[in-house]
Amino acid sequence: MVIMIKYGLYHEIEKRKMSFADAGDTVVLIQNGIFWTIREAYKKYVKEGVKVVALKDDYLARGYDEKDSPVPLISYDELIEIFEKDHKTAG
Amino acid sequence: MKRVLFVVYQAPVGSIWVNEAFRTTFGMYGEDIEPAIVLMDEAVTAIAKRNEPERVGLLPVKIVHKYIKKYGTEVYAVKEDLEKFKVTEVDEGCMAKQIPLSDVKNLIKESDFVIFM
Repeated sequence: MVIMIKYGLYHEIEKRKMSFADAGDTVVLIQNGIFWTIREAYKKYVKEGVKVVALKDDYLARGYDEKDSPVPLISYDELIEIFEKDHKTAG
Repeated sequence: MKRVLFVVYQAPVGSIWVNEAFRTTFGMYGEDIEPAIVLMDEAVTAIAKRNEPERVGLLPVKIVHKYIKKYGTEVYAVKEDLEKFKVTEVDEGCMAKQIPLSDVKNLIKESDFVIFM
């Protein structure tokens, strides 16, 4: 399942959504969701074996440097590929 | 048949999302889709007996009761949130099953599309 996170660090529901992810799922950080990469805050809610990626445009747009990202940064095209590969989504 | 799950977490008073979830769900019955609704966090107040959005000029939630009954819509409310928001008296018209948060994960994994609103 692909789980989209679009709100920032203080959003209760985003914490729950991340905790619902299981090994094999993909968590995609988009929009303000990229803030969860700061000091790897997502690690408190995301289990081992869950793949976490962030949308590059949203990450760079918020003034961060590509090399500082603790998670892989993906393009929109790569995001579409993730959706096509995994037909289940939660957003 | 595709399974769509609406997870509503925003309050029924001050936002349209509870009514929108029900309205969208009822519109899906003509298609090859099986919709269900989970109320969590602030949205659980939608099934409180004395919940009255109409008191501040908003759509009442009670207008959906007859359609829930007609279609047999699956409605769930998260127990931990009912306690957190002190919902002690529940309006039976919503026919909401009270489930623990852990069960919401199962509902999500069983669904094809999950929309948080």
